[in-house]
Amino acid sequence: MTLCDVLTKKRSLLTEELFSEFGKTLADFHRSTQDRTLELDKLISTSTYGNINHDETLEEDLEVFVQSREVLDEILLALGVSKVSNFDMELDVFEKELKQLVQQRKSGLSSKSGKLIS
Amino acid sequence: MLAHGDLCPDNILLRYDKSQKHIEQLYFVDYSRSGIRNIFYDVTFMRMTFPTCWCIEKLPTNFVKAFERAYKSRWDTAISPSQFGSQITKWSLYHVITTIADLMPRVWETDLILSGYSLRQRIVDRIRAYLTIFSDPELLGSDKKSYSASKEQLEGLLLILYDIWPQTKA
Repeated sequence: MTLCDVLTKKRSLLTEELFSEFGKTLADFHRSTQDRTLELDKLISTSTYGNINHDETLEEDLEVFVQSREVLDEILLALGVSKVSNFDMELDVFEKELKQLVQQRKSGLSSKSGKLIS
Repeated sequence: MLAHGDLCPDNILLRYDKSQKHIEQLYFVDYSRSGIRNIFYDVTFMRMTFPTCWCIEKLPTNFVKAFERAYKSRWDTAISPSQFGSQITKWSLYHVITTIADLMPRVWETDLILSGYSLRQRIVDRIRAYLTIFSDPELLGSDKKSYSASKEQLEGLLLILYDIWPQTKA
């Protein structure tokens, strides 16, 4: 059974305990990859699925964010919503962080340092 | 670290113990969107109502909190509370902005229903989910000011959406 089955058909199984278990399992999964970044790098660099390049997920996340900001600007304009001052600045700060992650990965720093967040 | 990238409810398998009536184990499947990326891309999936998924459900806050607390507890002190809150805020903002840009053009003229959940409602619910972070002292703490403009911008947008899509307000 999947979580989708639980959400749609077996809602009696929806409990805090289930989501607590989910949180632990996800943390264990992330942690299990923490010390294996070099090994994973090798695997990922040669792995593709359809047109997805697993080696470029950080670049893709950045690209999606940059494009989304452009679309959001058009939407706000079309709806007549004024830009709040500093909104762009806040998004610029986040975009800069994403760019730094991409750069770190390209230069191999994230692999060597085993950085927590990247 | 490796992030799954597509933690949708149909990608999460559960082993259920019928005699004990509890979930024994969870398994993640379909790693087609996985890669080295910020792990909070995954962690914010519950809070942001499964952004890449078709089978979704808005989860009660206590479930989201149970998930996040359990996740954080596994890291012990490796992720500080302020770092956790800051990353949740940033990546929730990421998901809400990409949701708006992805879904809004598709439902500009007419709403679409996917798996019983309106796309307009998904946009509104994700904006609301982002805004709840600001009333959660556990999450934002000192970072509150860093995202005050994003909060104000999305609050403004939400009011406009309530106006043009009144059915999403409930």
